[in-house]
Amino acid sequence: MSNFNEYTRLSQEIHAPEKLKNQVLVKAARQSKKQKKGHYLRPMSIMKKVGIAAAILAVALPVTAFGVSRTMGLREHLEQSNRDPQLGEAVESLMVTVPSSAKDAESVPCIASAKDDMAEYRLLEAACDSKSLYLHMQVVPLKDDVMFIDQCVSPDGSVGDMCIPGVSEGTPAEYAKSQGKQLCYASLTPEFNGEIINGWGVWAETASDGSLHVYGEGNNPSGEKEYTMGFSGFTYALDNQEIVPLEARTTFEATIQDISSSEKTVYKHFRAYDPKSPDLEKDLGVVLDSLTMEKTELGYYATFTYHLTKDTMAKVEEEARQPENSQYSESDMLIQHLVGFIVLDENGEFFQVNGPDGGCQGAIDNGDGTFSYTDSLPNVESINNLKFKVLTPDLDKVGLYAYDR
Amino acid sequence: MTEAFLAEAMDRYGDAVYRLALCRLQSIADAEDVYQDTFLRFYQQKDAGTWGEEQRKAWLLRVAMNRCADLGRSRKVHGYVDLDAIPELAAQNTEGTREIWDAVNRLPEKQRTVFHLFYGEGYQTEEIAQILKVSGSAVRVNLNRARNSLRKELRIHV
Repeated sequence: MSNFNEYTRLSQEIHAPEKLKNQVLVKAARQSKKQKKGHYLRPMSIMKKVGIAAAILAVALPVTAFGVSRTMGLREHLEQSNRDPQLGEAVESLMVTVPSSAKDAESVPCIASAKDDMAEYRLLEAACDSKSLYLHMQVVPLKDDVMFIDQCVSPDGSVGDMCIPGVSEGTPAEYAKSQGKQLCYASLTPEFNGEIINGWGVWAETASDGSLHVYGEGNNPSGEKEYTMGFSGFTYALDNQEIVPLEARTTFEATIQDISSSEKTVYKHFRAYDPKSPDLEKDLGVVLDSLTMEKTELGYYATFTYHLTKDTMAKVEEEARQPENSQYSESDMLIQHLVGFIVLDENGEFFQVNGPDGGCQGAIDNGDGTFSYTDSLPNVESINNLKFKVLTPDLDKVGLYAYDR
Repeated sequence: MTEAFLAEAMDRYGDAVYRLALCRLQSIADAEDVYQDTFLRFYQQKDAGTWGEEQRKAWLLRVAMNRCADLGRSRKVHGYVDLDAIPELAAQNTEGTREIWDAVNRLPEKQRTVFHLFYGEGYQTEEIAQILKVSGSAVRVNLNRARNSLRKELRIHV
C-alpha cells in the first residue's frame, strides 16, 4: 500500500552524482582566477522579501500549471485549467452582476474598486456557491511607466512568470525596460471578518497594459446568501524590503451574492462494499453518523459526519497524559485520530475530473462531539451508488464502502 | 569564500538542492545544471561564511528554485522522470513504490514542490514558506491540494 512515507524513503535515497561536485569546484577555481584578473561577475538574483500581514496574507503564485499565456475572464481561466471542463461555465452562471452604480473605472465595469497614488484595485468578477468562492481581481497602474508583477516573480528570473501574451524570452526586468516601464510589485487579497480565506489559492499574471490580474479560489467564508468581503491592496518598489503596514494599504469592500441552488440528500446507512474493508468502528474507532450530499451548480459536496468511539477517546486521553506529549494539548492528540473521506465513482474508481475547489477544509470539530469532513466531486449522473474510502491520519486510504438512505 | 568551504556546502546541502531540482524539472540533466549554477552562485557570495546553517540551506534552495524557474520556461517539460532513470532507485520496482513516485511526479508543479519539501526533505510549512518566499498559508494550501490530488490519483490495494 502506497503512502507518503514511501515517498520520503525514495527521496532520501537520491543523491547528487559525485561528478557534479568536481565540476563545480573546477569552475569555481576558474572563476577565482578571472576575478583576480578583474572580470565582471553577474550579480546574484534572489527573490525579494515579501511583506506579509498577520491577518491579511498576500498569496501569490506565478501562473505555470495551466500554460496560460493571456489575460482572460474567470470562466476562460477555469476552462484552461486542469479540472472539470464544465466548471468555468458553471462558475460564470453564478457570477455577481456588476451593480449599475458601479464606479466608472476607465470603462471597465467592476463590482468594486479603490484607488491610491499608484494603482486602482478592482474586483472584476465574483462567483460562489455554498462552499466555494471564485474571484477575479485586477491592479491597474495609474502611471503609464509602471508595470505590476506578482510578488513571487523575480525581476531577474524568467519573463514567462509574468504570463504576458507572446513574451517568452529574457527576464521581467529586461522586458519592462524594452517597454519603457518600471517594474513594481502589486498585491490584492480578499478577507472576511479580518481573516484570510480558508483554502485560498491564486494565480496572478501581468497583462500587456502593465496591470496585474489575480484569479483566486477557495472556500466560501460565509454561510449567508449575501455577505460583505474586504479587499486589501498595495504596491511597493522592487528594492523595498519593508513590510507594507496595514494602515498603508488600500482597502475596499464588496458585497458577494450566493445565487446558487442547493439540494441536499442525507444518507445514514453504511456498509463495507469490499468484504476485506476494515470495520469502521472496531478497527478505525469511527462511528459514521451521516453523509450529506449537497448539489449545487458547481458539483457536489459530500459531508461525512462522525464521532470517535469511547475506546478511541480513552486512548486520546491516555496519550495526552504521557510525559513526552506534555507540550501538546488533548486537542492536538485528538487530531491524530481524525479521519477523512474520499468519494469514488460507482466502480470504486477516482473521478476523471476534480470537483469544485471549496469545501475541503480537513476534519472540522463541530463542538458537539462530532466531526465533519467534506469532499467535493464533479457533477455526476447519479449519486446513489457511489463508493467511498476512509483517509486515515497518515493518509493511507483504506476499505471500500457504500451508503444507503 | 574558499573552495574547501564550497566543497563542504556541497557535501552538506548538495543532495537537497539536486533533489529539489529533479522534483521541479523532472529531468536529470536539468537538475545537474541547476546544481552547478546554484553552487557557483553560492561561491560568489562573499559573506556566506557568516551565515547560519539554516540560512545557508534556505538560500541555496531559493536560488535553486529560481534557476528551475528559468530552465522550466526555456525548456518544455514532457512527462516526468522515471524511477528507472535514477540509479539509486532503478532496482525499486515494486508496484506500490512506482505508484507513489509516479503520482507525486504527476502533480502540478507548485503542489509537487511543496509536497517534496514537506515529505521528501522534512521541512515544516513555515520553513517551506521561507524557502519559496510565499506565505505559510500558501504552502498549506498547496500541500493540502497535493494531498487531495494524490488521494484522487493513487490506487488502493486492500
